[in-house]
Amino acid sequence: MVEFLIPARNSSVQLSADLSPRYSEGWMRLSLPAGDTIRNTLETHGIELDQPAAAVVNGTASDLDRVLKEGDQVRLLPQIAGG
Amino acid sequence: MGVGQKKLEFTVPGAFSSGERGYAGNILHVDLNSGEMNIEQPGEAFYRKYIGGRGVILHYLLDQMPAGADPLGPDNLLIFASGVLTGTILPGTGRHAVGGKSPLTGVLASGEAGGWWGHELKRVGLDALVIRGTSPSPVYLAVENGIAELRDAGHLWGLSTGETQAAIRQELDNDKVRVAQIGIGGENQVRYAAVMHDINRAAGRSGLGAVMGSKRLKAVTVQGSHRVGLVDKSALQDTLKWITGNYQQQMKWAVDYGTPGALGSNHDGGTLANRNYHRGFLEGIDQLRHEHFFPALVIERDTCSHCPVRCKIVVEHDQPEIEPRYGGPEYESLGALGALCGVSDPQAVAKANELCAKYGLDTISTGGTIAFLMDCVDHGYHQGDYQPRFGSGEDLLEGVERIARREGIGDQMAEGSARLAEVLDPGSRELLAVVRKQELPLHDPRYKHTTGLGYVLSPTGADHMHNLMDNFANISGSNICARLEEMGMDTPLPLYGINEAKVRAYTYETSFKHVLDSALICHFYPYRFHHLEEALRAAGGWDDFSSEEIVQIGRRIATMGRMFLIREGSTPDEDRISKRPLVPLEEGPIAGKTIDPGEMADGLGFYFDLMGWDEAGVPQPRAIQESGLEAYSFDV
Repeated sequence: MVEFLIPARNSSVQLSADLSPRYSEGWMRLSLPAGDTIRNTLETHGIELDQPAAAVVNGTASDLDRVLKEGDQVRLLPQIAGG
Repeated sequence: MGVGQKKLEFTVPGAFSSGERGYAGNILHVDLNSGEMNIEQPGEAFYRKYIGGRGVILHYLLDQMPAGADPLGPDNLLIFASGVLTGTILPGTGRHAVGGKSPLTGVLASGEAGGWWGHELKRVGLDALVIRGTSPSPVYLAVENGIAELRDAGHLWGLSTGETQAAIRQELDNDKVRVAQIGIGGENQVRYAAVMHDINRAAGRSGLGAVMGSKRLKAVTVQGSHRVGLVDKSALQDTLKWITGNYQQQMKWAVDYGTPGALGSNHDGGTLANRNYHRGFLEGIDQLRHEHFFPALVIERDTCSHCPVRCKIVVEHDQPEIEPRYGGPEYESLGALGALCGVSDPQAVAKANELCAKYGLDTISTGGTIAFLMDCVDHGYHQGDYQPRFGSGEDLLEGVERIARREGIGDQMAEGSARLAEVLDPGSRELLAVVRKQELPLHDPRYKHTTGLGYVLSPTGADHMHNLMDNFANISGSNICARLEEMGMDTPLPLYGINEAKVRAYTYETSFKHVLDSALICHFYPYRFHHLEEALRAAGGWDDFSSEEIVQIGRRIATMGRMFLIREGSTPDEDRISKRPLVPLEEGPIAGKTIDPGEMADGLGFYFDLMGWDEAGVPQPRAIQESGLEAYSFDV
């Protein structure tokens, strides 16, 4: 599984009904299957942030088309100021 | 007082004064050598060709500024230009542009400011002011409905921006007058001094305040009563309905926290250039995140003319005293005065921002120059009585004071980091973070590679506004991707690297933004090509205006910028980023990343080819002809 961290305080997120997020330290945490890209994983599970978001995977700023591996941790960072 | 008695009365074309057009049709020319003024009425074709703002600025620089003019001499032009949409009912149009030849880069200086001044310029019945010459003594230009007058400013010289605005309003007995002005930074010709508007909105980059100071022009005040109309209001109805119904959701980031809200996520994602590009993290970053910064300092929000978003912040503090009338730091200012200098003390950063507004200094180059000197101290390249250290808020504030007053080493710091390096140990040059001697904005090119290409290609030196942001081009459905899809491109694009698709995307995105900076619309609005197309149809009654014409005008402006850059002596070896911002980091979110030199070279070549320029980036006759620029003298 891959752990997704989404900032909970300043993001409203739409989720599929079957997902059960946990909340801690200002983050919404979700466990999702590995094997697909970040972009596709978010789309498959109906995860939609109210702002465009970039990703940091295991501490590295990553392309949203990076394929996720078992045990990866993905932080989504809302991107602001135009764009 | 001599020149102080010069006055011009002018009339406003009926189509504008009756509220049926977006542009006034009047351009005021002022010669400060003689005090003479006259009105030019260029006609509709001029407005459709150049749109306003940057387009108009480049027209006058190419047409009327002698080649090779000293940026701080009488031959340089200082141009204030609204756009055909400034002050119209379209949200986000409370903006104008200021331009001239830059004393920092030696090429184009073109900065845009929000606030209320640009709209008020239009309300007096003027689209632009073209100012040349040097006044024998300090003056300010006061324009009210139908009357322009040069007035003595000897008593204002040396005052802060807040003091100057208050003194002028008292002198004119008018609290509604809008003031564009310089502080002591411009008076002392700091090469990155800003032109300030409403005392807290800067046309910040590239030293236009120094140009204004060299002309001994302290301020330009405007106050009018005309209403800015549209030729064809019906053409704008769909866009108006869409933006008023969607801005709260589409611009939630701006409504919530404005650009300061970007600092935390940009730090975590690798965009900030901590400690002059040496560190992947900023110690104490949590203090600058909006979660801490807002409750500690922000007392209210502010906005610009015709903008419901209110993205600006207003800060206040007792010790150190920070006056709320100077607004508050934007993302770039927090980054440059904070992260770049390793300073995470929010009061120190907010105070430094206030001083920059009070003295009229560009926050990015001020922070960049201080950070560079901090780095030189770390490396043993600078000895002297001012030894600024990374992380010290006290040293940061002393640096701003020294720069504005040109005190001690501040005299060399006021020349910018690249010229400062020339008087320090030669090893210091390895630490520079500049393009064309202009300090980089806070978008690390090791993360945003195409933005780095854009730093090199910008006719103004490193610029983040008329540029492509790789991170947004990588996010499906972002505004950038939506605009690129309108142009027939497949999106999203890869985050890292520079390839032909990304260069093509850069070309479309910069075209769009050159037109935003000409029409004059805020970049934060989520407008697309078809919205801009509708707005320009409405402003000019140009019912055949198309998205293709937007691209064509954007390419024209880019070509004019390149022609000016080359005419003023820039050479291909200046098409590069200095070394420091390209050295890969050993830690943090972008550890090990940088721009591949081969991709940069190929990207430049592909862009030149797309634009019809030669391999050295010189616009070729066909490209010049296609853009209708044959009239400009352009010798390589």
